[in-house]
Amino acid sequence: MTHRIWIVLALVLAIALFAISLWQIDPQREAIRAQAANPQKDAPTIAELPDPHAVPQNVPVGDGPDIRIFAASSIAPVLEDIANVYESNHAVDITIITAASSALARQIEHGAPADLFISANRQWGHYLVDKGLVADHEHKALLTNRLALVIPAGAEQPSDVPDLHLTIDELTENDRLKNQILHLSNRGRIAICEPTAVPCGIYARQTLEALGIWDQARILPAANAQATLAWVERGEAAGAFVYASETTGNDKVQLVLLVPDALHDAIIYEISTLKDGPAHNEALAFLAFLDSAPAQRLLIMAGFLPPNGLTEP
Amino acid sequence: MASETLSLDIALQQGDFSLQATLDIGPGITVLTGPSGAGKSTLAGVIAGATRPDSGNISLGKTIFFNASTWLPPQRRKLGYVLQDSLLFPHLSIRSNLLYGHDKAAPFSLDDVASTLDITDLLDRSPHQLSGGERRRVALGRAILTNPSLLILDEPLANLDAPRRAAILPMVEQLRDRFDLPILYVTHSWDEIIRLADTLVLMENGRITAQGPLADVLTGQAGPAAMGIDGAVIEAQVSEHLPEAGLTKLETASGPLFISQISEAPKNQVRLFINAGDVALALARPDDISVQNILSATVEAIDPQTPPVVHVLLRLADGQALRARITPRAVAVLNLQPGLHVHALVKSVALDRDLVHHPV
Amino acid sequence: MDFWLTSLTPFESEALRLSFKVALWATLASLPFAIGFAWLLARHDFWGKSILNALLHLPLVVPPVVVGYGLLVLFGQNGALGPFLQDVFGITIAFTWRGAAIAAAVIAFPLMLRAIRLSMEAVDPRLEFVARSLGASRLRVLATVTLPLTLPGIVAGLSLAFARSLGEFGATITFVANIPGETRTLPLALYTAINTPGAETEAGRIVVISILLALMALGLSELAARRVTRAVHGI
Repeated sequence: MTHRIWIVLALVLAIALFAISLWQIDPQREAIRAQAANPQKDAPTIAELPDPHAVPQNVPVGDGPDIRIFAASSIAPVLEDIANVYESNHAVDITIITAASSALARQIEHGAPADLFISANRQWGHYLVDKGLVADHEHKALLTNRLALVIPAGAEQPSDVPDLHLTIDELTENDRLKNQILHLSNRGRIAICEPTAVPCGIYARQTLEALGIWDQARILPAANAQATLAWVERGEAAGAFVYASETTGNDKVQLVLLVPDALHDAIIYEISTLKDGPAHNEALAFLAFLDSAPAQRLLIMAGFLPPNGLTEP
Repeated sequence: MASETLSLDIALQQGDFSLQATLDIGPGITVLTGPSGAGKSTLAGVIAGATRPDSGNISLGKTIFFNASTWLPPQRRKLGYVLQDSLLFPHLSIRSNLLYGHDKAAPFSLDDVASTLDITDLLDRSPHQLSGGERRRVALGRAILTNPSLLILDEPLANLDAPRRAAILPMVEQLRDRFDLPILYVTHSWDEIIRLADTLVLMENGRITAQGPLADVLTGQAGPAAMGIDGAVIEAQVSEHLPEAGLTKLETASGPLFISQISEAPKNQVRLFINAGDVALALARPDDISVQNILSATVEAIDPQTPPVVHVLLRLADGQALRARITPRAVAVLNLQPGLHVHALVKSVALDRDLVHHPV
Repeated sequence: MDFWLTSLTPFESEALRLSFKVALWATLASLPFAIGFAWLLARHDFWGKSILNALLHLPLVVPPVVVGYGLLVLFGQNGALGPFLQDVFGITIAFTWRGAAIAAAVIAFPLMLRAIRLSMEAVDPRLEFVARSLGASRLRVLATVTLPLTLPGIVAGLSLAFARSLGEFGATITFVANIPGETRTLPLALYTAINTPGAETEAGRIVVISILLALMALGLSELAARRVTRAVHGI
């Protein structure tokens, strides 16, 4: 009797392993992940700018200093690419820790060792400045982004006309957005980031408030930008407010529209260099690299916008 | 209600243990006995429906419990089954325990049964407040109240002290008499056997080695060896009480017997157990002797199979059997032969009043 | 209750009420299943018993996130059962407190099952047989003998499952997310507070509320366990 159980269990295990081996992971994401795990050391120079999604070669990992970057989840994927490029020319390791900006600010406040902090809004960058954790004058705007309303790929676009006998001409752009949101809200929930603290959620809440439908829209709060995207990619949410950058090259969602900037605070990514970072000098060097043409090119390819001469507030 | 006969003929294999039994259980008390591991309780469980045999058949009167195509689940067998641990439901009051399987069509009430078993005062208590003896009585009552066609008692008095057993034993007899119940009684206690058995069934290693009326089985071939009971049971009539001597005189067809005084009224029949070791034999009737009880008997058989002693089977005038355990030398000196007329000398002290039985 | 709730912020009282509701439903809804499976496992032998046993204990050993993801795949808007339940019975599981209750129930189920099964196995099977020989059907034996004697285990299982449901986090946030008033139970509220810079007081208050609630549940279950044990076995 006991014998038979082991045989059955072994069979189940074997079948499960076989099934997993057949279950293809999205090659694009897998490549990114593999790159993050095995950064290339001997890649060509920056001038020959590599395809960041190239299949990584097995190269020894250097034992240089470890730059720890705490990055808002929306910017983390492209930052991985940039870090790979940078690591291939410098004897450093870059570790990217990603979560909602608010969560990262909390972690740093409570002593998480960090060299750089990229927040998706001004609030949490300044929060750490106020706590005295940011090195003097090492706090600046890095990028901007747009907020986008998206729906799952294959889903029907929401109507922008309510069941009123109005013609499109009579509706403002905001009215149409409002109608679309309410339409989606009837279909299911609209994923947004946690609206009290997470930057993308704050922008989404401001948008809904500006449209006067914050209390009407059925929202689905998620932990951070990537989690928000995941809910709509999976089709569990009828729609989502995500960053425009996240829709770049993403065939699992389709764009409804870009949210007019006037409906929410400007989306500004700020980067702070922390006082007590374990690799402070290396971090400053990487910070400079972020301003370089190759890095900027990668950021723009990923859907981010330059800061447009935004200055320190 | 005329009691029905349980008939069984079954085979059962449990690991290394094999049980094969053919048995009829009729009116009165059938005692099932044998050494530990003989399969007594297993057989009782088979009848009750706890264990399903591999083959054979079991029926009670016209009701088929088990055969090749039938399996009657235990709840439909109408059997009372009492085990040695009494197994009262701990979360129910005594009253609720008694009424758990109460058959309202039974010709007797809760009060009848409770008073027979002397548990009327306990009804509102809970099982953990009862002594061991009280719990056994409640378990008996609970089984009786289902109005069973057969009562199975599996060592119901095991692990009780002598006074408690003495209190319950007559109740078992009353149950049989008042409620007209055939009883299958499993025990390996020889005083219970002698006191209660109408029919005795001996088991050993999963086989029935002897069955029949108590006196026959005790004096038969398989009896003493199987049980360590070496003696015979005879019945006698109370003749008169001799209070000044502290004795009671009993009458048998082969002569009078004197025993310590008992309370049974004259003319009543009693059952006595006479240990084979307490019986001496003489060819001529000895007159000047301390032994008071002298019964005339005929030698029926001499069994030399149990050295260093010899068992002599004696037949009394009315056909009852007696056993005597003597030495081979005594057999030679007396030149004992089957058919020889002898006098059996029985020490009166051997007649223990506890073993007195009231026949039906 | 309302008196106490007035001293709480809406954020807290909402989470507290929700936690209570979710844990209560999770516990009560899994009870019949737990009793059924406990009976099956404690009193029956059948092929595949150890496999069933392993499956039932799976939620205890796999990460709660796995359970949450499995539930999402099953009951989500695009899941195998979600649309069916929605269309046929009009029951929405995804992103509702019902989903949170299901997540908590699945996670807490093995604990309840285990407590009940152990207690049931401790019931002398001969008592059950005696009940049958007294004329009781299997079902009546279960109802009048087995279950009453298993009551201490049932109480223990209920309180264990209730406590575990109150604390459920991983499966809940994976399956039904963190929606205020719908699925944001105390642990999720605490998680939200912890991820909000400067929300130290909020977090601290929720921690205190959680501890008080846990202590209350523990005390009540201890009390209930004692009473039940006394009722079943006498002092």
